[in-house]
Amino acid sequence: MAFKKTLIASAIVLTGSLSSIVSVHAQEFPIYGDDPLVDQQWHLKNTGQTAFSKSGGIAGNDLDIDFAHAMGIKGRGITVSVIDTGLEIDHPDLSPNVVAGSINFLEGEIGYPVDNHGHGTAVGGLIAAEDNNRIGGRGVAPDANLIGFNYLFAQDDTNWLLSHGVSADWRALDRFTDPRVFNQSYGWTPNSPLVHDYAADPSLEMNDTVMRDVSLNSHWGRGATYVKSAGNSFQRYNTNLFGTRYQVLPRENDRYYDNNGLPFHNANVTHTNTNFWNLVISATDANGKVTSYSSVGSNVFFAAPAGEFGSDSPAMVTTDLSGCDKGSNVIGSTSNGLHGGNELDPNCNYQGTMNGTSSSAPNTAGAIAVVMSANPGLSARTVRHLLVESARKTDPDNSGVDLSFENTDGEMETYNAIPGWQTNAAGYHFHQYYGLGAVNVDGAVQKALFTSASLPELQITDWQKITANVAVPDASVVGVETKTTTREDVTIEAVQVKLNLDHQRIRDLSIELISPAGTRSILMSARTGFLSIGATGYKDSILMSTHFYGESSKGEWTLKIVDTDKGDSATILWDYGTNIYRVNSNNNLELGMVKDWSIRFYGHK
Amino acid sequence: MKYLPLAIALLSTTAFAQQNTNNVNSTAPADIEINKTLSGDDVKEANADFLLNADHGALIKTTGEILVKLEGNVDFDSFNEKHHLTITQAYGAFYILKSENGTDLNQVIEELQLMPQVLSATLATANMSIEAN
Repeated sequence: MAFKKTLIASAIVLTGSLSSIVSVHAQEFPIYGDDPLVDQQWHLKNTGQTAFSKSGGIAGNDLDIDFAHAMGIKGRGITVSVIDTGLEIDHPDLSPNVVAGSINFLEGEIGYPVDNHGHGTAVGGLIAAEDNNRIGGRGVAPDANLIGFNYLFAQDDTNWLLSHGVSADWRALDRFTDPRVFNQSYGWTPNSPLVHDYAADPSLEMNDTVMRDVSLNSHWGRGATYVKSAGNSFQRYNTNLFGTRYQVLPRENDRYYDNNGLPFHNANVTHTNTNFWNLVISATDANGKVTSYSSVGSNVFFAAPAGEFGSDSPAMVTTDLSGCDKGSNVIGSTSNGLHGGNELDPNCNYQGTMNGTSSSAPNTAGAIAVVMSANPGLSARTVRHLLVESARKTDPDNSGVDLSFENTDGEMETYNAIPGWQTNAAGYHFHQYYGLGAVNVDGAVQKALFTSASLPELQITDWQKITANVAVPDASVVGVETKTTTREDVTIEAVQVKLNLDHQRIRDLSIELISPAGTRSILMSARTGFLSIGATGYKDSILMSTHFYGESSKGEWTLKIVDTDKGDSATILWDYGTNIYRVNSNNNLELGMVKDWSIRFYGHK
Repeated sequence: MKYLPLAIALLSTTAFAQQNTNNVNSTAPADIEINKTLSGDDVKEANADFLLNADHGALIKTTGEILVKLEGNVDFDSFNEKHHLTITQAYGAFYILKSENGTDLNQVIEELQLMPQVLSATLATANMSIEAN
């Protein structure tokens, strides 16, 4: 085993040839080591294993990380921050990688970030569980450092700052033990578009300012990366009304949870998902397809493995709170074959049911740590660029979703509501479900090893405002278009649109942005499950797209709004008890109105 | 994504189906009677008070902090001493003040807003709908 590693490394050093590296990293390598559960960690090496569920996935749908691990490139010198429910930092598979810097917000003290839930401990294991220690599995970046914060149980502005890169003594983040990757496996799903207004919400401005600074300037100007879960609202979401928690779900074609195949909610709805600094990650299953729950949208940057629920099909095998009386793996639990005291894990320190975009995010955070460790001199933006360059087209035959509806003349129309895989004018592939593709660690590591220069300085253009005042025709694929011409020539990394639009039933609307090169990005998909109660539309709401990555900003941009429904299909509110309410069943009485919109670009010259 | 066990009240006359056997939260009615319509004028009237504070479906609580944005320097020492406040964290122009003993924060905010260097002073809140994914 050691001989093979040496041989591979020697071959690379001796040849120094990019082509030879390509051929080496394209080969298949086993995940070396003696971690007893690693064979079931399909996200590292998918061989079709079941991960202690009833069925297996399709081989090859993984993070493409075997070459990096074989090379010993596993996150050394990179610290990842787990901002979560806490982190069991004395877990036997985590403690070797834990460095100083964790905070227990529950007690207001530096030190042990008590995890009374287990979610953060599972996340931490996905990122950086130790390898080759004869226990459990391993993390994506088993040599990376870990720190943790139990922020989710102590949320306030002070704790947000302390966990997101502002140290208690206000010093710059420039040590190996300071985080270069921040994992945020949390979020929420608004029931109506948010208002982006710094004056009304100064904490939003503060958070954006901090993330920009840390992203660009920490670590001697090389920066850091914030990774964010896209959300779990593809089929349904929870909302609070009158102090009561409701599930919001679609009802179409007289069936609950039927949204005509469309995602019921969209990742492009929260401030944290539409700021450039967060790398938003959707979730794939062991077959390489979008999971049943993953939020999706034009703002998704990458897709990464997370799995389903670990019973019928694989979830994640990762660390659990230690002991058989805590966490997800407890005596008597039978949802997964690992649970309840398996001979491979007699002390119930691991679990096989972790999932959600909570898992795809840390798998990506670990991947970023691995790529950063391959070449720590590269800027964080360059690392994510290399991940874009190497991203894999997963579920390649996915053709998207066509939506049929009756127009105002009583004729049936068909609208391409979710396009299949598209290739933009810069040659990058994009899909609403998978962003710029599935994370491919080996491909990015190979590029990192042979990349000496970082991307040019980030350019952020000023908002360019367009006054439109155009009506949205009801139930028509023709829709309405409003255009603007941009003179600045920036190579796009992301585009933001700020929208003011009145409409009495915004779930009907699809919002498209079309680039000068003709690339069509769905900023908000039709039949997104907004509740219209109390919301008249979009007010200074920001939507983001990574779909135009690499294209030029220069030229004519088109915003197109399509109303896809005149009917009485409904959104359902369910209080998890006996009360079920029907919402949104009446069509808009007045035509929608696009009042104005603004556009700005993130990219480089 | 970890779903917590959730007690679901079942109606004896209602048939329930399991949408997804692995997800207790997805247990959903398969054949239910819609017992109230929330759209239309009734909704607006019934929900008017709530909608003013709807927060897009988020559960919001105050944190006991005041978020202050400054333009220039402010000597917080005497101000904080007077109001029993401490600076818990700061970043750039933003300062977070926290009460030590249950001070009336609204009154503090009013005083802060009168100070010429203070661009804004707001009662900080936390979105308790943010949870693990």
